[in-house]
Amino acid sequence: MSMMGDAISHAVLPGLAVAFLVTGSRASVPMFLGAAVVGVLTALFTEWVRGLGKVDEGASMGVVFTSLFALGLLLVVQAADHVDLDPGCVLYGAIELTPLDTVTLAGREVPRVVVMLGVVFLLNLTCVLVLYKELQISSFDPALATTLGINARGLHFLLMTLVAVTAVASFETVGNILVVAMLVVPAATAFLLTRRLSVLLVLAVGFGVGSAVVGHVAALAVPAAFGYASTNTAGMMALTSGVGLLVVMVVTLLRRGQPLRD
Amino acid sequence: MLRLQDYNTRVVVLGTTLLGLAAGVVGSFTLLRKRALMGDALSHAMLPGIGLAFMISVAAGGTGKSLPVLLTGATLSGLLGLGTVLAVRHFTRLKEDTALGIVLSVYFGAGVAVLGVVQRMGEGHSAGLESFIYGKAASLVAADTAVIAVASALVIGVSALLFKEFRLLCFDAGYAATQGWPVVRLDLVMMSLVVVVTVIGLQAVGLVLIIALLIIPAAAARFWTERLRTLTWIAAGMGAASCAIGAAASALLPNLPSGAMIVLVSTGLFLLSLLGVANAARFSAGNAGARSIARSAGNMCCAPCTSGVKRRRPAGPERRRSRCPRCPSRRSWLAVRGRPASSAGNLTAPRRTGCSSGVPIKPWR
Repeated sequence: MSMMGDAISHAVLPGLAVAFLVTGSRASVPMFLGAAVVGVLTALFTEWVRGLGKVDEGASMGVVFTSLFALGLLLVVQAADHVDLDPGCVLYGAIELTPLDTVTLAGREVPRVVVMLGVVFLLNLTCVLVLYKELQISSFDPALATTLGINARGLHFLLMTLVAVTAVASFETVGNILVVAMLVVPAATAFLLTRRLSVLLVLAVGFGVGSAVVGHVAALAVPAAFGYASTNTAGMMALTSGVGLLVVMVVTLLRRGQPLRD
Repeated sequence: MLRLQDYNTRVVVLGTTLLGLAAGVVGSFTLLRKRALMGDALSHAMLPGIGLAFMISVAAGGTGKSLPVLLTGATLSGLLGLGTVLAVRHFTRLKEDTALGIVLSVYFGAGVAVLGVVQRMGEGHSAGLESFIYGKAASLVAADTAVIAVASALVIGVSALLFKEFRLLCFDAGYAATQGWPVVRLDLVMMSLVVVVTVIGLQAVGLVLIIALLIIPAAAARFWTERLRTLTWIAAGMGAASCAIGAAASALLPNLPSGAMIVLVSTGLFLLSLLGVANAARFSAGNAGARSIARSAGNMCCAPCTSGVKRRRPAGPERRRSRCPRCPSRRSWLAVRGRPASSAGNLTAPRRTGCSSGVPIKPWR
């Protein structure tokens, strides 16, 4: 399901456009709701196309998200005369501008996105902690989960909803691609090092945070080393997580002599 | 009325149609290789190459806008991305879709970082680089169309020459290897065709559109046939048709972006195929349930499972329903009237990993 984050993050465009056309404003809440609904719909449509069609999951995902993206593009262009929906902002994010947009929380000025992403983080954390056992069973063996009376299908959609919410909340700040990178790469890196889900979760969070910090520093330092100005932070974070994966891959290969196979 | 006399419209329609043709052909192979999203990953992986090519050519004293240089950069970094996918899959226990996700996001991140540097360089005019992401289908010029024509001819020619080998690779790579075919090299050739289509498509119509063209026509064609040759023809036809109609509609009506229109036309064809085939199956099978028919192509074991156990076509009362012998799903298996599964023509090649019912299948020990 690794590509689901990619699919959802492209497919939310019509949600954003419709939310804008309905409310006529770029307020966060309707945009967020529109995008989250379309995100969940993406997961649902993918399931349908895969069930009805004779194609595998990747292809059905590709059909759904490209179509939704095109629909969104069409809506945006139709409304473009008086809209300022910047595709570049969705794509790259404007992480450098976050300190400028603040809200007051408990007497202190806090960047708005920090509050928003903090809420999403708590939501995700709560869901994972509360449903840890159920998620574990249904991720490894949905059939067993179903025979034990766990609603594996419901959990699947809950998970997809969380992916959609996280992706949408992160867009504005870090952009589409860093969301995908953060959804896939740290977990993949951790996956190379352990076979236990609990360890995997902790390691993945660690790698995610680590590559964010290192990436930010690298965005300032690396281009400067070659005599250029600084570069895009989100892009550099994604690149850093990839470098982390490469290092872990090489180290595990050298130490074991062969990959950790199933 | 559509004014095909209009030179510009003619160029755009012709260019995108040829691209749709080539993408449909290549897409049918990638679809059956279960690599539909390969185009997605590769097209994103080309961005750093474009940015670096620009930087190098500016550093060498050029304007940085030379198309061959940029396309060379894109091709090289696309091939590097392809190599990374294959390496991740081969050297780790990560699955293919994770490998695609990694390449997609990391390479694109690198590309964004490089473009960030380019934009702040001050020298050189980087404004046009963005068109690689969003495409500029409506402003194709004759030279672009010529490039597309040559590349499409190349792609279709190679596909035709290696059709037999690609077919074998699509259905049973393991068997191909035991027969002494150079599987890895053939795989590389096939994926290089994807790179070629993506490079020309990226430059012409943009990132998302080329992904759509590689996937949707092939997926739609899959409803109509069980034979690869037919599938390829139908996919090519659908790709070309949706490009022609979409580009024409965009030229004809105001305020319709050509890229989005092409994708939406192909989505329309996909939905028509889905509904049409489901209906046809319902009529031919009485009230037997169109879904099950659509799923169980050929006489495999219950189609969601496709553990590869071939079942004799049961006769008499047994032919109505039975359990899948291998997977714990309760989904009943429905015997299908029709052509028995032949090893060459049957498109439901055995899948070992999954079951579309969501029930993972443990390897048989």
